[in-house]
Amino acid sequence: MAKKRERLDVIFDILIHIRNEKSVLPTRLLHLSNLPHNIFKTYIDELLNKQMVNETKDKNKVFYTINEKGYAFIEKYKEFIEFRQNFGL
Amino acid sequence: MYIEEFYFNNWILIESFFLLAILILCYMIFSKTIKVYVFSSYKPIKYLSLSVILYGLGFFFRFFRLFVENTSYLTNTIQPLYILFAFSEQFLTSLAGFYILYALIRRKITKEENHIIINTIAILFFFLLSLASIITKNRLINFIPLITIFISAVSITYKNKIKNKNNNISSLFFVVVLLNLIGWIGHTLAWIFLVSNNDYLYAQVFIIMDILTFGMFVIFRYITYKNLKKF
Repeated sequence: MAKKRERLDVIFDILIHIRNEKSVLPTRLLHLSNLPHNIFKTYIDELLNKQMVNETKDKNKVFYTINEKGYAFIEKYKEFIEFRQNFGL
Repeated sequence: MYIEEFYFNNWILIESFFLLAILILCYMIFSKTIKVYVFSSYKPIKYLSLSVILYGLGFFFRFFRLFVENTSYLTNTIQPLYILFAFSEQFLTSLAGFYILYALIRRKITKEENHIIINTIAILFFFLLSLASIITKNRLINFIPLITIFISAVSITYKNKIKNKNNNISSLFFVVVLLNLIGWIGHTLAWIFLVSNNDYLYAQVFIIMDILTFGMFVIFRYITYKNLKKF
């Protein structure tokens, strides 16, 4: 299991991909996130549970979209990285 | 009126105000940084938060140490309490100083076991140092390691300031650490003046150090809040 900070990097990457694509299919997101399928599933389940990502169905296809909580996470993550760099931590 | 007279006539008011201001500032900084730690689990931020809270506690005990010291008729009757306050102040502020440096170097130490060893040694080291300082009544025992720690911290934050050119926050964090170093040098001077019975210079340096410490925490609070608007 990845450490929490590394885990945050992965979550950030997934959310950024969803944000950039606006609405994305699981297979496309799996490809973009460059993770093994089982690990990807764990992360996407976590994002759905924490309500950072919405799952919508259209013509029997599942799509992921980012929501307010997801955007808030991205902003917080950026601030955290900036804080580390600015303070040299 | 001499600054010495002014301080000694109003010391309880000055020190109460100073303690309140420092406690509020420490709490404000801690409440922000701890949220970042909860979000990220990034250990250097944990030690930065811990350092701020230890400083706050150290200043809390400093107030009571000064209270007993300045009401000298109490010193003999509540000597054990005086020792406890003085020891707590020295131990907590020393450890706070160490944790600032530790927060800055922690990511360079990769093995988790090493962190346990470093923490244990640091706690023991500053505990024994504070104890020795109380027993021998020589505060230089505490001040010299702290000045050494802050010289290292100043050099690290200076390198970071150079690396992040034109970054206001990095520059101001360097100023915070530099003011800490000046503060410890000032406290050393104040103590030397005190033991050499130069009350006038002692009071002057002591008040300047209070103002400087207050300024340091104001800048620290400013950069923390400026950088962490979303937390």
